[in-house]
Amino acid sequence: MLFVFLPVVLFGTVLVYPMLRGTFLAFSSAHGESFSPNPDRLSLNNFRFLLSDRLFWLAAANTFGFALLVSLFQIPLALILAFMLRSIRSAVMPFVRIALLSTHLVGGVFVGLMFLQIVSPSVRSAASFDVLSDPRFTLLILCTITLWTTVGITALHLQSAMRSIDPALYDSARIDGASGTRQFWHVTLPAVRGTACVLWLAGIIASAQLFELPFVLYSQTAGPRGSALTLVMYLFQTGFASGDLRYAAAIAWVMMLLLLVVSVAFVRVSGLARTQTN
Amino acid sequence: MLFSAGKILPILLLLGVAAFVLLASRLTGSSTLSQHPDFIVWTFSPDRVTTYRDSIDVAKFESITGRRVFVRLMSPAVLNLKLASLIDLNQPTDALPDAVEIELSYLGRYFTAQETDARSAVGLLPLDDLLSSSDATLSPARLENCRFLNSVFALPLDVHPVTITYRPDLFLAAGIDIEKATTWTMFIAACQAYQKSSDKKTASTSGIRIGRRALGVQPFNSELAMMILNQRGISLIDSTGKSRLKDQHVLDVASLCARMIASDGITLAHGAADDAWASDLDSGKVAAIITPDWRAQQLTRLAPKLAGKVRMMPLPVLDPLLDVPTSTWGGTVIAIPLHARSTTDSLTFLRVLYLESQQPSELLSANTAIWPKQPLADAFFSGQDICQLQTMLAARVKPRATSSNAVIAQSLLADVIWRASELAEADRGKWLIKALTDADAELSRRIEFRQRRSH
Repeated sequence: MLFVFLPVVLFGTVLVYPMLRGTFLAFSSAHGESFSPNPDRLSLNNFRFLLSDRLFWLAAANTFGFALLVSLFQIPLALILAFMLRSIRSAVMPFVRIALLSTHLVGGVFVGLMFLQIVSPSVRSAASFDVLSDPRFTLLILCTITLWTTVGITALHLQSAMRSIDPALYDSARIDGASGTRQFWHVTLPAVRGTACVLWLAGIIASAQLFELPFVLYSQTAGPRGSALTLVMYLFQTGFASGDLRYAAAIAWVMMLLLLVVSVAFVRVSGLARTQTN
Repeated sequence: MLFSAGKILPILLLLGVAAFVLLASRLTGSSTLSQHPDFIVWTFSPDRVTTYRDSIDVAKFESITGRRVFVRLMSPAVLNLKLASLIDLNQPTDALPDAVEIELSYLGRYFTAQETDARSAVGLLPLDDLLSSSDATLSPARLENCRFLNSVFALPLDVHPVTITYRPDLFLAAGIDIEKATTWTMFIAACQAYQKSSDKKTASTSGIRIGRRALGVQPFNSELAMMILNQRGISLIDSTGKSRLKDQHVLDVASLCARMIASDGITLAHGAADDAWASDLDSGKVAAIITPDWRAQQLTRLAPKLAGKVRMMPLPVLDPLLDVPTSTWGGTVIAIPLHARSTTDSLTFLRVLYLESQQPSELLSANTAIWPKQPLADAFFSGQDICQLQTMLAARVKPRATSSNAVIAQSLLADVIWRASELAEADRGKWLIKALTDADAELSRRIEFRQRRSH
């Protein structure tokens, strides 16, 4: 009982209460702002404004564009990497695992600062071209860094899934004359499909919460032409820089709903629910 | 022994909620000075920690109140987040500081309410009574930053006059006396002449061959435009809360900035690294940088090889009749949270340290930093008396209104200027008028939304 008690307390404290409070803030309109002692009234004003908020939709477009691009490359690259890991000798494998995990463990801020040293115009000695000032490169930079951070750990997850495949299936395929590519396509992929779909969905949700990278790379601003403005960044600016916690709560709610729609659509299209049931 | 989840789960939930309520009450209960007697001051400046430690005024305060001053250092963003969260509780708590130094750009976050009763609206203690009972003179420009709903909620600690620090060796090698450029138009022309004469080699101490631009600026944001607007005393949101984005002054400055940052302009964006601006000047990648007073101090530490190779000049102006040759960049104020544990002691702290200070009188001058500046190595600036220059300029700094919508306003302006810089100069004027009108409408809509939601 004690074992379950602590997570329940933590769940209530750090998740349930903030969600309830955030919901209240999002649906409230008060005389005065956050510090007012007067009682709040319920209203949809925050959501009505959000529907016509250009900056919100710019942030949403940037965020989901980023999530789409990352998701297009993350799983395929991780699959290829996981397949390649099968041929690595077991003596070397622990070091390979550490190398692949380390990019994920160091955290977004550290990775951002590290890449800043590489792409910052102060460091480059010869080029006069500044990729950080060109809005056409923003998405590419963010995606590249994110893939560098996440492909390794995704590959390790997929490698674990691949290890659970019955070797007899590969033997049968070999006997039937299947090449390595056909074995990968007809044996490996269907077997890891469930794991890959779950990782894919988790990657989309994580990508939609992008914040530290653009925050560090673009000096806490929206970047050139607002190209680095993400939903969480906009939420941060609204709530903590401008002090409008009610509108920030509304942004958080709509962001959650958008993610829910995307997640449900993904589960339906990928047949993930059927896969898990089977 | 097996338990039915159906019976246990409600009990666990109940226990969880009870534990949470207990935790929450610990956070928000009223504090007792006897349990925590130290006088807590929050600051984000490491220099201030040293200054508080050595101050005779602090010793005087401690002898008056019997409370030891304890200075807590944290980054500006963390300080602002913690303070805003605690103030948002709107009740006394142990976690609140007794006095807090706030970076000026964060102050507008507290000036959001529409109520006429200022005392409950802001979360900070009004200081009008304290100021009226004191003979001290504070910078009117800086005091304006701290005013909201006709009350003053913080004391200004510094002014941060802005100048241009440049490398005379680079300009003179191109045959240009940049200090003669007293207007922005002349300055741009001189910088363009400098860039044309550049043969892509630098006179850097490291001998690296890199392209050169004349002026280094911060990337992505509207700081350059804000600086020039402040020279004329224009804020994007005025003291009545109205947007001024489609003002003629804003149009003129936006046009000027777009010209400066365009690909054929005179600026280079510094990298986002903290010392990028110093290394850019050191390497000769840029020949001039914009320096508030604290940057001038940091330059001596970050780029020691520049000793004797730099000079400082006032800012050029757009209109010699209307503008002052300096601006302001950031700044620090000190305030008392409304629910501080003992507002009497907190007011005594401000009175002793800032209004009746026994430090040399120049420290409380209306025009310069209150705390003693480190003696600046004039030899670093080619024998120039930059203290005198900055003190003289600080007297002329114009006020800048603070607003909770300032972040959005600056973001909209930065976007407009960026897009304008990508256009040909012939197309820029008309486009800017429309773009600023649209940005003004957007900003006004947001201001109105926050005001309307409050009624």
